[in-house]
Amino acid sequence: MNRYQLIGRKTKVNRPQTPDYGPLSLHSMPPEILIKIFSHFKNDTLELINISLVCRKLHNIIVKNFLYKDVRFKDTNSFLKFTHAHLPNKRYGVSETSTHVNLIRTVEFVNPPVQNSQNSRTNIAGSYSVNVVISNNSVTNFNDFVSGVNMLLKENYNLKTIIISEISPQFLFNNISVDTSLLKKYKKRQNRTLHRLVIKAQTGWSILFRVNHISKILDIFDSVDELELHNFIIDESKLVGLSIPKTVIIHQLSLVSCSFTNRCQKRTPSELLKSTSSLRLENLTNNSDLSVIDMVKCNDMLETLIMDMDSKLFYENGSFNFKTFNPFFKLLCSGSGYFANLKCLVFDNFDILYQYNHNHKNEENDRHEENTLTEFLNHISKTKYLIIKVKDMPRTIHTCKNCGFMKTQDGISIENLSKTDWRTLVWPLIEAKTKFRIMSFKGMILYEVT
Amino acid sequence: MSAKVVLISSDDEKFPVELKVAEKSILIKNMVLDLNPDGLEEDFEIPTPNVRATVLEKVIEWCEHHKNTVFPDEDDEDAKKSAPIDEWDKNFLKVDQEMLYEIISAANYLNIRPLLDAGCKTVAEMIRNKSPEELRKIFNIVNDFTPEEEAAIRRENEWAEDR
Repeated sequence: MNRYQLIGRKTKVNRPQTPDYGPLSLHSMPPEILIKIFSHFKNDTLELINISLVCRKLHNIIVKNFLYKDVRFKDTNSFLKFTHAHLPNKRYGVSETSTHVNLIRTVEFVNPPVQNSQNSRTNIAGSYSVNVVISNNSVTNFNDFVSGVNMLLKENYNLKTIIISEISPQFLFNNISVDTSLLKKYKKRQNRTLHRLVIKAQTGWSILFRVNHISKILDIFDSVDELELHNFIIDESKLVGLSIPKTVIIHQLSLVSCSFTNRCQKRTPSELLKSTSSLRLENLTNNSDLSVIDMVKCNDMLETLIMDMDSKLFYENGSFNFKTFNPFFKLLCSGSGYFANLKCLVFDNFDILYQYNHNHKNEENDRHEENTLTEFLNHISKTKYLIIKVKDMPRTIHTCKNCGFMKTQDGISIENLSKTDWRTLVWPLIEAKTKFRIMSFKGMILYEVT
Repeated sequence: MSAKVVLISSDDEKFPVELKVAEKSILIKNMVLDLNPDGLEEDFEIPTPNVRATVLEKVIEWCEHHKNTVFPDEDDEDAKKSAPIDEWDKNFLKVDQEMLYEIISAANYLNIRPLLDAGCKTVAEMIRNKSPEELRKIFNIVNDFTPEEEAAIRRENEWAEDR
């Protein structure tokens, strides 16, 4: 008897037979219908577990499509339980990674544990100090958490998205590995790409962003398609001085409700963002936050800029503040100087119809166009490629027969506007022969010039 | 009298229906549109080889009832899932399990989204708050796990239980 026969025997178990169900049974329904039925429980883990225990077929469907597809660890405890059951662990006698680990596409770690071993002090708003008590137990938790994350990232080659949410102000991973033997190992293995890395600060906090918030992930991956930060303070001086032992490419940086500070005298590109070609800014609140564009573009690689036009920053008394921001957009879209590399501008969430002013074009009034949508469109028409995504609003509009003016009215939705309507609305772009696309918030193309 | 769409069941029974009713099925709507670009001039026969006459009759009854209903966009999946089943649909789907699965399969084949959604939601309600043993009993499914496998599944999912 050779070795392979023995292996075969070892795995043979007396398993109950799966009967042949007729065509009219839940068990015989095609997988796409079963997935549709079970998707009613996609946020109810206990229901999903119960269904997975019914029989082998349902177990496979639940595990592949629900339980282990998008995994959210609501606390460290549940993550540690997961690591004990699914990842190799000498302490628990588990020697192999479970097959479920590679099913995970998205993983979220909520409120990761902090490292400090002693009680620490934190300043709120730079003045109120708060004692933070951390027990010895949490120190073990932190080490186990980090080694668990490390193992999960190394074992799962299908991971697309990592979310670390509710980060406390004390949370940091260890420094990025500078072990040269590890660096050699990196060179040998295949490059790994993560599609999205999302880091969210704890509710109510704005935390200073440090590379150690993501160092463990940068240890494993060589490129990240999108790094998305929520409620962080981006301090240029903290990013510029930093050296990273291995090359990590971050293609897009997305900042949501983040603020920007700059204490650098001279602007030099940050190593972390040296290959970043796309920047997305959402929910901007201060003028200074726009300086983040300068910080990123000094890498000479920035090609795409996506701006949330519904940000508080752009509005004054409920109207878009063209007076203040038209000069900014003029500079941004000039296509020369510092912004020469910018190839694509995306204006997201733009309530373009609301900004449209019902004034018949009049030569005498031309001088009044300085602070209007028309001037804004004139400026942005210099961009190489422009995308305007119309704000998600249940706004309905009607068009004036004589001049094309539109105002809200029941009956016609923005999706139903004709090409003539759009031509009336964005005529400066058409006159300037700009290549542009107008899209609805659902992603439908409403008007396009290529 | 205007031309009708004649649906033919797998057991060769013919069901003449108004175009407006038949169009609830996107499959039929597209078929009629593709093959009669100038509109229906005479009765148009469409075989439905996967659907038995009793099931087709039920599906047509649903389409007749909803011929003037405007169903919301397909965009918001979550909102659709949380909305309760329409009272008429609920009563309409009070049938034995075999018929329910046949209606769901027919709705899937004929591409009638709102009927498929209502059918799936009805089955989901039958599943809700039941133990694995109760589920096996209701759906007549045999436990094909060994006791060891069952224990292993419980163990591997422990992390998710307190979510």
